[in-house]
Amino acid sequence: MRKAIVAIAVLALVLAAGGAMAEVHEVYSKNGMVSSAHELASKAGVEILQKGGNAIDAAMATMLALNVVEPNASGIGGGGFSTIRFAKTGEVVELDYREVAPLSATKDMYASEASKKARESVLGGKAVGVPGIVKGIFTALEKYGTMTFAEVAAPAIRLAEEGFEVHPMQNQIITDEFGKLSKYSPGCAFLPDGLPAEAGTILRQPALGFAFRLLGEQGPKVFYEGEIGEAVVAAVNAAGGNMSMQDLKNYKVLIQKPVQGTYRGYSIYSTPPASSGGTHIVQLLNIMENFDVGAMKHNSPDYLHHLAEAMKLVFADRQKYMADTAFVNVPLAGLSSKEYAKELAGRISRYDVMKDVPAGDPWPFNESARKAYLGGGGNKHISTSSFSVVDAEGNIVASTNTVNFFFGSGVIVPEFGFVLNNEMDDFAQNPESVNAPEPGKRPLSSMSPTIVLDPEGFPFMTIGAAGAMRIITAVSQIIMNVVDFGMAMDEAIEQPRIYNPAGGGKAGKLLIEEGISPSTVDYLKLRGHDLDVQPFGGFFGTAQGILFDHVRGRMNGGADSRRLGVPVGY
Amino acid sequence: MKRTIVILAALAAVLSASAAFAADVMLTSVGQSPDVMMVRVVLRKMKIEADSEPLLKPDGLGGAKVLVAVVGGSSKGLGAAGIDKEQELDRVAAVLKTARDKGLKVLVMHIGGEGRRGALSDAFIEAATPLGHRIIVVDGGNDDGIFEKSAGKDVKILTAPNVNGTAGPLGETLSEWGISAK
Repeated sequence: MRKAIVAIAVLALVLAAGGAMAEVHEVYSKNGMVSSAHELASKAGVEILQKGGNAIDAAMATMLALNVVEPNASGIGGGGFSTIRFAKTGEVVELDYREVAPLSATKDMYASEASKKARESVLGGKAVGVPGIVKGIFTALEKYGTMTFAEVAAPAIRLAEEGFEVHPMQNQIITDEFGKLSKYSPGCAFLPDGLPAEAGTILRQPALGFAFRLLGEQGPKVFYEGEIGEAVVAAVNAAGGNMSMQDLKNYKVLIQKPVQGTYRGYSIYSTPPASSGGTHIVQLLNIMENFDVGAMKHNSPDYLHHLAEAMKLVFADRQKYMADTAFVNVPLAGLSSKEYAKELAGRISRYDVMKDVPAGDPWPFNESARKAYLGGGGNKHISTSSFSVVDAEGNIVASTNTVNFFFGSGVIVPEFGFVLNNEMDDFAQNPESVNAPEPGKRPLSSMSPTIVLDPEGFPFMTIGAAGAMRIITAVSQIIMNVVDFGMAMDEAIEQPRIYNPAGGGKAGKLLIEEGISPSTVDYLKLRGHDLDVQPFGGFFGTAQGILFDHVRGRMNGGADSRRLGVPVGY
Repeated sequence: MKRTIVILAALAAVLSASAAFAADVMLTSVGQSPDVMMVRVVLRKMKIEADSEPLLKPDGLGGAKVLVAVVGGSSKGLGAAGIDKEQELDRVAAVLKTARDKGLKVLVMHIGGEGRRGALSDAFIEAATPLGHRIIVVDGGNDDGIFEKSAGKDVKILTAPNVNGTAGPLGETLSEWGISAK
């Protein structure tokens, strides 16, 4: 990596918000940058940029490298979303390669007590959705890239074949998932000699490298109609699932318009359904726009109270209305409308804490027909991987990808060494839900790769996060940290966060990340919030982002210390 | 006729229960982390037969001569087992005390290193360690000396560099206690 990192300014600032400390490492570069959840993946992307690839080429290289060095979180057995902005035209598109339910899916497939007890939506073959990421990569390269799959996969193949050093955090993740890995994939690369790969050892994944080589030689057909697909179907069905080659053959990538909103004049572009993320980020920011956030002290009791109350309103709406728009009519325009947000903001009292949180009614603010819906709840696992890429021309890719839970369903395709997702768990178990499983349906997601433009229309920030429903709250808080509190990229990412869900008409607990001042916590308790303080860590979302500094003509990268994130520029 | 069937069924149940737990070594979890499964893999590689029951009750000790209690708290594991921390602490105290009363040797193992420490795991360490006849700890798990503070007088604490490395002290301990590879 010949002088790849041209300008790295490391600011070891300590966030003395009270108690927990997080080091802030701002990284600056002039020509291009990749900020991902693993240094080797960021370097893989930069390698492609330096070879003349554009941001799309580099993003696909990063995605494949993440499959190797962070196989627990994302990979070709999963799916995701990429938000792409083209510098020349200013156009923003959304690439949706989210998994879909197989043709064998039924609305009540997880409804029985026996199914719930066996955790069929989470573990084994029945949990696996039809993977979309391979078609997503080929679509991105063919439509927007300049390189071939074989070219962008070269760094990932090298990492898979030569191996990389296992970090203690990765050993811990493998250890935590030992139960399902040893049950469904006892011979996998992550369990050499039957035990979790030790920290400091070299992890090689030649089978995965072979899969990438085959894809480079034969294209996506080898996955959706050929040898790799047959191995996927065999692995799923051997683990109790019901998938067919027809499922793979049917898979289609969606190219959509992103959800668009504004926050204090900044334009927000993010994911539309089947992700709820973009819509609810816009909704949360719209609600917060009704308060003078900049005048409040960062992470002060007043700020956090208003933010927690706004989160409850957003999650109440998410549960009631959100699902795959190919199957369900969702009031997207209403949910992201400023007028509706103003109405919701009017429900927030400075001195009272909402206990009952019924969903609002966005339909009057929506141009579509009205329907009543019942959505599914969220879950609390930590997973997924998000990264951002910017090239010298100014093309931007924000990309979030996942196999859902760490190591997904636990099923690893034995011949090709990649993890199969358990995305079926993102469907609701209640067959009455708008988000119940149906053949070909995309399960509801929270993934939110987001691009922000400044009020003049210039690129301002690209940001995304992992962390299930906390993606929505993490990305929103980071955007406010930059826009309202003037923070640099990593400084904004490393701040402690809050999360306050709501569902079934009731408020959930306010969860506060360690690092927020204990006196603030006490004040919020006194105000009536039912709260818990939780350790600083991945639960609150792990984010990677790049901020544009047009005055100095440079990019400012940040990557989350809650994970192994490192931005690399050149 | 009916009585005969009942007696036969009862006999079959007793036989199958004792057949299910027939090995000299019994494994249980203390805190419901997956670490107990890893110790089983190590024992298997050492060709030492062991039964494993993460939620072992005192009456399940069967004819075992050694109880290996693998310590590590996992909220996820407790949740999956449908129990809370207090219930697990009660179960562990009952099983380990019964094992000692029945003359079994109790080996307490902590294989998770630094990552398997923290408030939850520490509560289980402090509950199980005083009842161990011997302790095996993987490096990083005892940097603050919690095992010395919790262990009984003259109880040996052996260390290993990693999970694979526990085979050494495990073999040495079991051999001293009359258990060898089959």
